[in-house]
Amino acid sequence: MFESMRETRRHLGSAALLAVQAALASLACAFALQSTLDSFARLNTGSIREAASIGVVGVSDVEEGADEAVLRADLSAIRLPGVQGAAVSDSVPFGGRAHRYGVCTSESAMAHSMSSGTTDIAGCDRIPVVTASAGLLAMLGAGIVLGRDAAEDDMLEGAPVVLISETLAAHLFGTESAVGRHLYFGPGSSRVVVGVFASVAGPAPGGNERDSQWALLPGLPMGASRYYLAKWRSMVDRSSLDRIVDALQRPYRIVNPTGVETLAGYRDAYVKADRFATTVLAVMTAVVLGVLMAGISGVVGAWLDRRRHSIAIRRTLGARGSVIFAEIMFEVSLFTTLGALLGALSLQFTVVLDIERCRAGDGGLLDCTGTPGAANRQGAALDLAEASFGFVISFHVLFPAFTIGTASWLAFIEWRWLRTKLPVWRELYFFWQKIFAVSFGMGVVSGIVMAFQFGTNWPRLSEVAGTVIGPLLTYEVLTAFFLEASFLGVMMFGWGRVSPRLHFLSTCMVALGTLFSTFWILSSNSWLHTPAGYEMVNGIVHPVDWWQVVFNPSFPYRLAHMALGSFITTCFVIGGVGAWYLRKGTHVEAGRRMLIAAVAFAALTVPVQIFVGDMHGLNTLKHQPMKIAAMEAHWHETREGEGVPLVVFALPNEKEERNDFEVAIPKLGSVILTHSLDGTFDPLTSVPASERPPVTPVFFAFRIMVGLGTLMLVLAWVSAFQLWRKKLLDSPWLLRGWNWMLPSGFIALLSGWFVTEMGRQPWVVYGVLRTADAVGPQSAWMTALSLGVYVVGYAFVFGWGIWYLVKILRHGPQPYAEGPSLDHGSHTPARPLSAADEPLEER
Amino acid sequence: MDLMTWLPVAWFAVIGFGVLMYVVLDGFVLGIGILAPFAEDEEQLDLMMNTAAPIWDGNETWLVLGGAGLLAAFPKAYAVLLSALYLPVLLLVVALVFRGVAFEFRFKAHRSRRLWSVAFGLGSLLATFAQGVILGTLVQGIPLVDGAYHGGPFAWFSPFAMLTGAALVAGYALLGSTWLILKTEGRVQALARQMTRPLVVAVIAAMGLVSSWLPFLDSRLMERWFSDGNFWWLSPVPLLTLAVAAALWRSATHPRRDLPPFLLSLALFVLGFLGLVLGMWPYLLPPSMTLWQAAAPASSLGFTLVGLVILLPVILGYTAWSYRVFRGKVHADAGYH
Repeated sequence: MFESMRETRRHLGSAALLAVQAALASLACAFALQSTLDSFARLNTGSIREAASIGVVGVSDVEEGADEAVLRADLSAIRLPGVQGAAVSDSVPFGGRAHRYGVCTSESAMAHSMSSGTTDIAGCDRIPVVTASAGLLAMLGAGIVLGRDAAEDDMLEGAPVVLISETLAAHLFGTESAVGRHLYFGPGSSRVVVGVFASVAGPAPGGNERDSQWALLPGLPMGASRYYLAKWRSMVDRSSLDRIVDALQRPYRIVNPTGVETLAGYRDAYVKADRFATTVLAVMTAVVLGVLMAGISGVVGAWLDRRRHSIAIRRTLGARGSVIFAEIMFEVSLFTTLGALLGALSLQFTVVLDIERCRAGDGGLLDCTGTPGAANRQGAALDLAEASFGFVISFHVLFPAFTIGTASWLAFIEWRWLRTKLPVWRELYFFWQKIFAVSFGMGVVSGIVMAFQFGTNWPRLSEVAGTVIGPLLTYEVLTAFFLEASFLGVMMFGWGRVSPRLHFLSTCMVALGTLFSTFWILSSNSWLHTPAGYEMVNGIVHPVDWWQVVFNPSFPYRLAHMALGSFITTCFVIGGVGAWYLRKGTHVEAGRRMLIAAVAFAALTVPVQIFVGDMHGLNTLKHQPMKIAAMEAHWHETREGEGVPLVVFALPNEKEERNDFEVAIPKLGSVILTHSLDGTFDPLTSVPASERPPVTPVFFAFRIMVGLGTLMLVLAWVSAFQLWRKKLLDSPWLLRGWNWMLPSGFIALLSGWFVTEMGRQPWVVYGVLRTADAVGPQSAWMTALSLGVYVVGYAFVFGWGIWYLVKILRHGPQPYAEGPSLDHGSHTPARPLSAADEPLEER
Repeated sequence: MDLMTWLPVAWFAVIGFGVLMYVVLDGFVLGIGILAPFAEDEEQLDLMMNTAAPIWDGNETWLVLGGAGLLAAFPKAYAVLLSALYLPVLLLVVALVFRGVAFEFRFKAHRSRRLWSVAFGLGSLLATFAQGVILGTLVQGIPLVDGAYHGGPFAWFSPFAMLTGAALVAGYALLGSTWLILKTEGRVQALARQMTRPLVVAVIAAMGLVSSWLPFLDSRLMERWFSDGNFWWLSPVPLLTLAVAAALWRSATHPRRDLPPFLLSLALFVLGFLGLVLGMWPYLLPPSMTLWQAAAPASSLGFTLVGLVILLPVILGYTAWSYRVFRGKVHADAGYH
């Protein structure tokens, strides 16, 4: 048994893969089980009585900016024969679309809540609030238990009164009478509670159980989506609904003239859709589990396959088949159990975190008691949309950045080949071309996903800022994507079909395309950070001056920093691969050229990059001071003349607004950021907590990036010095250093990306649109589904992609073999040469 | 004429052109994928994929142009459309991811080659189906309340959308088979010829079914077709379609004519597209959002249009050049692999 375990060490890679698969499977299973149970529990709650006798008609204003006073009078005046009660409301009691507001019971609680940026304090809460005219409560059968119902005057005059549900009253005011108390909706804006109504059974405005705690503001919702509800004496039939429509036809647009329904019909449609969704979720779970199971068995199979040799040896040495089988089974089950434990633990961890968040009023997937049942869907959808976008965008930043550098490197190699005609350059060209093809493919597909996510998960962002992002993206497609895609075909398949010069031109065009692409995508990204050249019209961004939009204040710095970052990332991969070959003693000539090119390039560009990074930082300080404050974990104003220290290490404590375990160098922060000994910049506490970016991730990501940058500089300069002394290739330590620094560019790039993107929070368009306001109407489970699909799909696709890249690297550059009759009058699109597509896996 | 009247119209034309380019160009590549299960062995599939390998990337870029253009010119429509069609778009994107990487990975793989053949075929099939569903849902009408989507996450799951999904699968398969007739010889070409006739029947049947269903949809999309005797004015479109189908039927099995089937199936798509646009005009999202309602401000429209006017001819130029470089038949090269 032990002998077999010792041998396992050689297969640690596959063992880890097995464990990860098992972890994913158990996570997916538990997560899906939880959400399915949650959905079913919610579907089985009761419902409003008499829902069949309430008719609902969706209405909207005829034209934007119609005379509000006339509309108000009209709406309240609609009276139809046979109607028992009528009301206008901005949400139907099903569907969970009511707005959530943070409310507090006292002025001081409100002030405290504003400064701490959370409603998770005594006397405050976040609740769904419905704006509706008088009569809604009576119609829904929610009787008044204390105080009075909303009166006609309340809504016409916009009186500062509010009605709250019984459960909310108990939650906020305990056993005391709620009537006459004040409820604060913001600093200095309070409303008097005039009545308490009985909670309505069944899904309430927020769409779940906990939302039996809700409030009603008497008023006439205007403009936005509204519903006209009427209760009839007997059952609502089609003809009576038609009469409502007729009566409303004049002043309003009926949203869906043929789809008028009863409240019961509305609920049924809602429940039906949800039931179907739940079923689909369950089926999806089964499929995902199946896929993961197949993956696990595949890994086990591959494992057995690789160990066939050692098994055979042991058999000849006399071990019985059943013993070997038992051993292997033991190992496999050990690793899967470990993985499953890992999955269960991480789920547990998420649930615990989630409960914390839920308590903080941010909403989580599960409710505060941790039992399936109630979920705050809006908040969860936001979190998931962020997670999903962050995930996709992180992948997207890695592969294109690498291809930007690789494309220019290819152009350089081909130029060297045409100039010197040394075979090694041609070998290198075909070698890097394969690497380029695989990473370019992955970059393109992740780009498509990203382009569509703007619409699916962030429709508000597209609506508000699409007028700027859209044109810039279109220019990227026009100038870059088509160029890359069309010439890529010639570059990959055209060797021998077009003249060498034309082929070189194609390679240059591809490289140029990647650079154009960098230009436009960073312009639009920079605009999200430092919007300029626009005006706001009706809540929509209208570009005024395109020059200012494209060359917005942070763009030149960001472009230079990112483009250099891409080149350096590729440079360290090239150097790393070269050093690896030199250490192994294979492909020595190619390895030498790669390493020397990388050393020379890095020694020149890394210092430039550090300088550009500093300029970019100063620019950020000017336009997004909070990002800098978060990067430096600079919490409080320093005393006059003291200067700001440079925090080398600390654990930022966001709750207490200070750093734990801080190690700092006095005044250095001032020197770096203001270029003076006692200069100051705004600390984090100069704004309320709700306006600050998350400090800890930004702080650490920035340190990782700077640390790696310093390491790169040291390595590059020491290597350049040794190269000058002609001792580079004999220095095993430097070779090892380059080898180990191979992924450093990627890590630095990703950390830098985290710093800049997280540092922008809580804004998605800085100062214009908050991230929380940019999500779409989709439900949490749908976003969760898409996140799940992306994670599983990407893990699969990129897992294989990286596997093939490793294979190509192992295989190394191969001597050029004259391809078989490439162009004997017949036009055969062949791969660049036959060896290029030799299957890379061993047979 | 007013700037805000004709700019959106110009953009409508541009996006229409982009979508049409995508449909016909990526249509045949996706069609190859749909026909992949009919390949007798991996070598035949190699050959089929090699006919498209140098150009598929550029073809797919037209979809990205359509998406980016929609975001630039009609941001409201983009936001509504994609959030209404969340799940089909998710399916489309994931399927395209697998289809796309299959091109690169399949030729690098040995033991896992079969996996990427399946990914290629299944990805193409699902991407096509998702596109058909998106089209069907759009034609059916997208319920809006105050410019925001107002319907369930499964509104697209309707019999009509399923039909358009299936119809598009047949249509792309036809494009694929006629492309293979053009680009291959021998057994693959024979296979493609065999597939073409049944596919023509399937496509015409699907077009007929969809057309006869249209007048009964809530969106009343095809009202223009059947009001005020318009039908007679517009009748050349369906008549031409029938004529093209008949010619395609005849040329499909003609032993020496390799180009006409492909051109005729392209014509079939262009005519179908024309019929659709004629019915939809001037709505971008029937039944309630016209292209003027969805349009971005003039500064956004104008800025991008300038670039389009300059760059689109250049793009078409070098796209044509790259097709020229790879013209002619693709052989099962002995030295290949």
